[in-house]
Amino acid sequence: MDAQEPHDAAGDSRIRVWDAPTRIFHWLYVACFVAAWLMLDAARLDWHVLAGYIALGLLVFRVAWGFVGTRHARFRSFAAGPRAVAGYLRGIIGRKSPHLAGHNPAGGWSILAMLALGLAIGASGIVALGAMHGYGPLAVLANSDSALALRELHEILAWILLALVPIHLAGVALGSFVNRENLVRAMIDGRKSGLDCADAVAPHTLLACLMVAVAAAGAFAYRRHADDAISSAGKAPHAPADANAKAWNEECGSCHFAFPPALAPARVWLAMIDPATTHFGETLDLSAGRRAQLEHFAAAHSAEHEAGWVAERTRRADWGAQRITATPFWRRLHRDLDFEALKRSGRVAAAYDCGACHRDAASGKFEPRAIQSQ
Amino acid sequence: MNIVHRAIAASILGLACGAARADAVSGLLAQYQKQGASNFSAASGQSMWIKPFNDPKTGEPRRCATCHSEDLRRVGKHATTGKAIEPLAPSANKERLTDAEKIEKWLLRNCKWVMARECTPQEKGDFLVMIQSR
Repeated sequence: MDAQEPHDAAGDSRIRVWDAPTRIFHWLYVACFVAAWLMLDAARLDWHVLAGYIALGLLVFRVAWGFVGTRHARFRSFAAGPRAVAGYLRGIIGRKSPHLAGHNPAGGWSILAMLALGLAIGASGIVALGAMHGYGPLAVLANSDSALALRELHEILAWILLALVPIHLAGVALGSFVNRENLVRAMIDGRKSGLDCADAVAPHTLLACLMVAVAAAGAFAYRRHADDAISSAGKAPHAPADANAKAWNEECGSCHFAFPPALAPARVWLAMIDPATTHFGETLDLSAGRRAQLEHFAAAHSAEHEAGWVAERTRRADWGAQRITATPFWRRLHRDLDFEALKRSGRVAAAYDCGACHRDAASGKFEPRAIQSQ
Repeated sequence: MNIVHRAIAASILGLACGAARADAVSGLLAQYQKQGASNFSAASGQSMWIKPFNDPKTGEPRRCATCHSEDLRRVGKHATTGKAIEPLAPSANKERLTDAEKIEKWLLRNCKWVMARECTPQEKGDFLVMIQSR
């Protein structure tokens, strides 16, 4: 291969320093990171998670490649000590830094940081996914007490990685300027100019093709699995076959969305239908028979009796105002929505018109993938 | 199910609802008469339907039409929750006025919401004959 090294317009020989798998990793990692930020909306959680899985797979490969890959891709070649970093930065200021084939000592550390953060983001994402929603490889963590904290951690790590991006870009710009070498182009075609032929590395094109094929096959398999999950998300766990369920759906559903009983603990439901108090300022005028039916249904299916993340949240929520829309966890999960605008557009009847967006609201599951954003 | 079967099923349902409606309404009207009401009038029902009453708590005017709309054949909107309320007119919604227990419950609850008092048997009968005619 080296005999066929192309020459650029100036006739200066450009040799390959980045093999194809390293470059494919770089750009797919960028694509996954961008995609994950664009798919923050809970309705697109599936795509967000897919981007995360691909990024994690890429990162695992990159770590292995850091040990067995080509010369400049190995960690050993760019994990320099603090003294080397300081020396390199001093050189940059004096504009006499050496033109290096691989990463410079400062860049090496930012690469290591971005790889480590990516792994931490992926790991925390999988843990949060399992704990919040009971999905993914760690679904057994469902309803863990620290679910929201884990999601928070996932978010904070992603912000740190996002903050590293401009530093990385500034380093690329500075390096390109100081050494008169377009480093972006180098990460695209893998070549740098003005170097010794001994620095050249093998292309490993086949391995890069294999990486893309594995990522594509994984994405395809994941999407099929996700589509199956969506079609089953709307099914109610307890079909309203019994008379109490029917009474519940009729009485509640006459005036507003018939909230599934998992949305509140029994004491909250009982207070809501207590004839001695009003129902948010309204009188219900339930017959004694109907009220008894509602009481039985609430007692049998309230948050204390249902599984799933919603029941877990509503059990422990602060019910001071007796409204689901006033509970801190509900407000947090819906903080980005402008319900006044949604009401004006006719999209929802009220903030508590759960079924307008959650296709599986009647079942009480409230899976993120069952949210319909339009 | 082909179109003929569907038409037959729909007419059977329509007839059944019509019969249930006749039973439910005539039963209630007889009951109201026993309680002292007489000469039910759709016109009186209609004028009550659109008459505003001030809510003692908020001072805001409330009417039957606030939630059910003035045209009973149209979909209404719950004043507080915004939920769509299916048309009350039997011509637009076959299931209306077919369940005496349901009629009594909502006349009780909704009269209190609009007028802050229960309807008299006369008023309830006027409403029923008015709704039935729509």
